[in-house]
Amino acid sequence: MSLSRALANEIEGNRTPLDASEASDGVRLANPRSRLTRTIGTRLAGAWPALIAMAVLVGLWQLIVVMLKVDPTVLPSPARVASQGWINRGALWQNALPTIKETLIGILAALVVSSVLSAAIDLWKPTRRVVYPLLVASQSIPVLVIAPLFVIWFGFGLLPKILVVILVTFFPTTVALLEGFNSTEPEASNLIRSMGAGRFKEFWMLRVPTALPFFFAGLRVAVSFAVLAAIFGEWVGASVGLGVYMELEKNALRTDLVFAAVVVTAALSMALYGLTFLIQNVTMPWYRNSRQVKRIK
Amino acid sequence: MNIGSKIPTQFRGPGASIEVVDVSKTFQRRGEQLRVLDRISLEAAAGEFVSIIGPSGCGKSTLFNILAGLESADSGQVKVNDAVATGASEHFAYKPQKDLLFPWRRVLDNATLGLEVQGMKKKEARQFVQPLIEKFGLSGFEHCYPYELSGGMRQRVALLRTVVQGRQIVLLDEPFGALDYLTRTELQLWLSSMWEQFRWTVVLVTHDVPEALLLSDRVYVLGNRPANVSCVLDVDLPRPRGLECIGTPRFAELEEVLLNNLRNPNKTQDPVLIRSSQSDIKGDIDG
Repeated sequence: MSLSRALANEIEGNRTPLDASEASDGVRLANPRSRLTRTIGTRLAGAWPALIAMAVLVGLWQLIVVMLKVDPTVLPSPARVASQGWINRGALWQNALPTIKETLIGILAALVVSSVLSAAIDLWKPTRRVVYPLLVASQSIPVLVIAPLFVIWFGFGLLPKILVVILVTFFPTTVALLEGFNSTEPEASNLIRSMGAGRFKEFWMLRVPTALPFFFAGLRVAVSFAVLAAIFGEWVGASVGLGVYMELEKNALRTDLVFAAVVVTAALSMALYGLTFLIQNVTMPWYRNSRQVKRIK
Repeated sequence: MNIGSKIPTQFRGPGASIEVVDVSKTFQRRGEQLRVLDRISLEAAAGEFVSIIGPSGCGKSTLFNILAGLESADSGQVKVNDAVATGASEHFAYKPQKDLLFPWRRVLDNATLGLEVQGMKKKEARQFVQPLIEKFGLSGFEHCYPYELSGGMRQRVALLRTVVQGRQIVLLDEPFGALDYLTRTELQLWLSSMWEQFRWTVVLVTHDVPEALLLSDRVYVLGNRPANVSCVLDVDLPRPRGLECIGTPRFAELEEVLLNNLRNPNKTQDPVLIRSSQSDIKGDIDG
């Protein structure tokens, strides 16, 4: 019994109120708003190495083009891309708008599709055997073949491009959601069921929040394909859009403007990618910080 | 000091009595018959604290799952207030081994989970739980996320979540098993004092002998698989029980009885009954 005696002394000795003794254990963080601005700040600060690397590469490119006197229709200098892009900013913007529109509508529609599909599969397990093979099959359709067909079926408007974006982006988010639902701890399911939750309450109150981190990982994969998919959809048949613009300027031997359009495309992709983090931090304030705490510990 | 009077009546015991009669369970594993529970019988009167203790893997958790309605028994009955309640989970508030707090819910919202599942409005549920936050030593932490809490606090939130459901019987499955020794002992003492105020009917599963003795009115010892009740021990230690209780000769005596029984389970069908010589245990509890 000497061990319990020793313990008794130990506890009697530090008889502090529970709150006070535990407060030092619990890591307290500042309010969410300042946390958000701080994360944006640290993100920008963390981007310096990448920006410097990019500046060095662009500098080298400029140097080589100027020193070797490369024909601008073959490889324009970055300075020329920037100046010509700025002069033609009106046209670039006019063509970027429909591309942005197609991309955003496409992603949102893909989210609806993948939410419905993954929820159906998770709630009614037999659907999995019917739907999953079809999902995988849909991904083996070459976009190269289906995109022109969409143009034949649906014309030169927005719809065929949106369809291409959906086709390319719904799969990663659907798979991510399904994996996320399945990562629910069985004990947690038992707990909420012992409280009287049925299938739908369990799904909504437990499985959906559990799946969120997975969902955002899938969304980032999807988003990085989305702009490209929209441009490809335009390439095979459209009247406006960055895809059309690039095709036209290429044929006019305006390589500098093709590059300018590429820069706009990359900026769009990066902005969308960043947006996913912003949405994630707003919808899951607990997630990022809990990971930080784990790292500190 | 009469803290009890401050507790809203809806949280106060005594709950219901529970009786488990000859419950058996056999699992099928790869064609093999695995008998886990062999005619288990036990009982707890309303407001009693009863522990089930046994070697690991003896089927304690299976018994709990049957009580909580998560699994079905092959034979036998569960009675709540003398009415058959086999497979009905609505009488039991179940606290699993892990705290299983939902990381996306703040402390207060984790505590209200059961109430929300039962259809109570979020705001109403929060108001319902609020008076207990302080009693559970969670003041100032209501709006923290679980990752901000220590292991001991998380367990207290989980226990709060369990008892606010207002169910008649509280089932605790090795509630402090994953904690360090010091935190565990502190929580055991805390739970003991909470029970003395609230008087829930509690069935606790544990493999920690001192924990069972410190908290219980009666301890059931389960033998190895297939588990049956090999010993029933009335714990006649006076209440309220604090740390000093652990050091008393009577505590050591009872601990030895339990350890002996765990090491050499009595394999006959009838459990050894060790009733206390004192007849005024009840009086001690109420006093």
